[in-house]
Amino acid sequence: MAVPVAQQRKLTQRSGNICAFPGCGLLLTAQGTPEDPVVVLGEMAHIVAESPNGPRGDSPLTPEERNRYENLILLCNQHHQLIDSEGALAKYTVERLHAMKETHEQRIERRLGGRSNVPTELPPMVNDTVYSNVLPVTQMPRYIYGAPCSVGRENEVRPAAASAGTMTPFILREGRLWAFQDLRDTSNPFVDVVACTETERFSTKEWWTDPDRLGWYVALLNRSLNKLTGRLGLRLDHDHHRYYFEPEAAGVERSVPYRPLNASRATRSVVWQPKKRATGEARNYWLHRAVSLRFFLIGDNQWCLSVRPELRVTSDGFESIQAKYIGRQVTRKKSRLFNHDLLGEVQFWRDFLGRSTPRIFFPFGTDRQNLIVSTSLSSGQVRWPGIPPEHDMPFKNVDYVDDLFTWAEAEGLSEDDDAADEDDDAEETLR
Amino acid sequence: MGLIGTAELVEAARTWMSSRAEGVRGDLNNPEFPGWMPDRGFFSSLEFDDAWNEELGQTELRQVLEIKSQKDRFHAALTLFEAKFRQLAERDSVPDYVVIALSDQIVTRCGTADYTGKETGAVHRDLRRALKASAMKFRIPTQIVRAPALDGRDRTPPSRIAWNFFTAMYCKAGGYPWSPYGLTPGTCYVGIGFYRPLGSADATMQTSLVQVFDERGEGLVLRGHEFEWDPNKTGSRSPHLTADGAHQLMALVLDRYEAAMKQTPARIVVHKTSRYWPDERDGFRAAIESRVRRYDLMALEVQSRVRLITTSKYPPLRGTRFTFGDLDYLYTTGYISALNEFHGMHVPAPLQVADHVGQDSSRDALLKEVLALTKLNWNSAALGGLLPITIKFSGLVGEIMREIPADREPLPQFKFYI
Ligand SMILES: [Zn+2]
Ligand SMILES: [Zn+2]
Repeated sequence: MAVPVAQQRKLTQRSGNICAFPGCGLLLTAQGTPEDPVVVLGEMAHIVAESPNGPRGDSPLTPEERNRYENLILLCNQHHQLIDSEGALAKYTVERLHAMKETHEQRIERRLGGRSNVPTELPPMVNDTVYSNVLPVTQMPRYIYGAPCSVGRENEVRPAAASAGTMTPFILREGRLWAFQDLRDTSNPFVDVVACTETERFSTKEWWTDPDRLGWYVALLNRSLNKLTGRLGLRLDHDHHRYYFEPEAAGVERSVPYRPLNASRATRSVVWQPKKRATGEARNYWLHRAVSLRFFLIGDNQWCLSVRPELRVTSDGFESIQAKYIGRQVTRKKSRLFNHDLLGEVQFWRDFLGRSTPRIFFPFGTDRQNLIVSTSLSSGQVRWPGIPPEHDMPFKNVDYVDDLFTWAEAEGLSEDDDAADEDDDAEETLR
Repeated sequence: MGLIGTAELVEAARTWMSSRAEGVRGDLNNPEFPGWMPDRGFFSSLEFDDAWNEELGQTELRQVLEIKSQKDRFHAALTLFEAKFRQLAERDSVPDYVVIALSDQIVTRCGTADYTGKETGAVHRDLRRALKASAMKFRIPTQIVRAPALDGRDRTPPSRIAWNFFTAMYCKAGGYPWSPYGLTPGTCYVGIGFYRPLGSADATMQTSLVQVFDERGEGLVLRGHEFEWDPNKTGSRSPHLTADGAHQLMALVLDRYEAAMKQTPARIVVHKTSRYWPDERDGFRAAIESRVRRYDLMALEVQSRVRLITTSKYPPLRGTRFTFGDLDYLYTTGYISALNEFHGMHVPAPLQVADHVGQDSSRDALLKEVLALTKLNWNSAALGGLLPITIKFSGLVGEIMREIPADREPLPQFKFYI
């Protein structure tokens, strides 16, 4: 037998020199003579036979692998014969012998009260880049305008179509209409319902320091999100405060093109009816990609937009189903978003919302009154023990680069915040 | 150890415990359970005695299960168990710990009850919590075991079931399965929670509850006062204390801490899941500043809005701290480099430090303490949880407290609630 000595030693030690057959317990050494101090009774049995014609010999293992510790089990002579006997081959399968060996070796280790000798020191510290599901806001409107409003309900306000592409979000609070458009201007989109001459102007920064006004401001930002997502064809799920894809026609699945993590182009299902894996039969629910978006203030003047990917479940592509009626499988699918899947989802949304450009642009019509969100994921450097590199997953499309078109769009958008401060005091008297 | 259940289940529970006490094999993802024997594992022994067992007779059980009304059936089951607790407690020698083995029948027929009472409104009750509250009357620490865990229908890996079961037992029988590392001596860690009384009639009533831990992880549970909280009037679903209420509650905590420890804490750290409203903050401050020099009030919010993403199969490491502008986040779950594994089944999300008053300790030091306190759940053998022990169980403790009438003082020992 050509079992290397190191492999033999490992096997005898791990087995405690005791037959691994359940219930046997025979100690495999015996008192010998002075010339031959120890008599070895143990037999190193092959789990997969050494030769392809032997017991359980039909296996892809190489001859060398067949003689390694992993393929050997220590038995007494009697049990060695038993497992190799013609009639018992069906019973003592490769799997069963592996399990027998593992149980035995664990029992031995436990009985000896062995302490694992794996070193307990921490892995070395490494530097990593981590990303987040948060996009930085690079420009916020500088002013909010409010003017007395002649209608009391928001759904009665019909903003006039301003210049092409302009968004006109607004809120009604305390008898006034608040918007990002300059309401003093008689060509403003709300001119039919507001008293232009009584317009108040506030700097947005001033609102951010007052908790009530901050709430109004966030409401105005949410209206802006409604406009943006509406233009991109998403629907608003009021109950869960998220946006989702709807089928373009009843019963038809939908997918959209986007720039994935590591390729230049791909398509992603956004509305689909899952199929049973075994039979291909359609399940009785539909899944819709959805996203929860929220602006939040992270410091004195810095805003961010968080992107939280979600799934919406409907019975037919339209009618929503409550979570408790859909069962474990879907709930699991929804909560089983692992790290790299999350990265893929966030990538999809930042690409979709920014139309594959470096920024998400909310045009409010006036210079320095725009809201611009960068589509670069907020990231940071971290020094930590790290995750072993064998678990690394690629992420190539980190950055967006301006092309001629997006560059033109961005031209003229002053990101220089302090340029216009000098006229603030003069105009403050308007209030 | 005492056992309560049908003759059959008492026997099954005893056999199950005896065999698991020998040790349970692990697998790739679940470490082996080393046993509960004088010579291994917990180095302890199981002591059974028929005199410590209370069997549920066929007849008395049938009489309960046959009751038509769900409410009456629930009450009858509770009364039956309470009679058994009483009999056990009246013996000359009392077991340290009682295992209650629940059959499938009891769980399905009496596990919960939903009914409407004249004075209480709609009530939801749960047998597990009601049993804990009842056993507390007789000062009996209990562990409830369901039949599927005993007969193998429970698909949880056997070594994990054993780890959790015996760790909880060790703690409830008065042992310390492990002790915290990195907590500051002389510090009193306080978690503030709230619960509503049983029933929907008093929808605006709230009771405060506090969990207090010392630096060794020993815990006390205290019931605060009742107060009115109307979410519609206040615009907030989570209750907040008045200045007086906060003052009163903190004074109670300090009184009880001093009585138990025979000294005033050098420092207080308060954890809460909602922000500190100005009145609340002033009340806590006033009560603390008159007696304790150093303090920090922290609001820890469970959120999933902000997350870090690595370019790996695994999420960020447990213990990762990061800031976004002025906002501070801490991963209490995540990848564990020392174990080379991702722990917990859920997708990890960092806790947000939503509010911090005090500044007597560095943010780093406070977050290290939060991390240490997530390991202090002796009711399970899990490596750590999402929330620090100060607030982790406030929901569960509240559910049991609401079963204890206002005129009965709840026991302060943590082991009666878990
Ligand atoms: Zn043998
Ligand atoms: Zn040694």
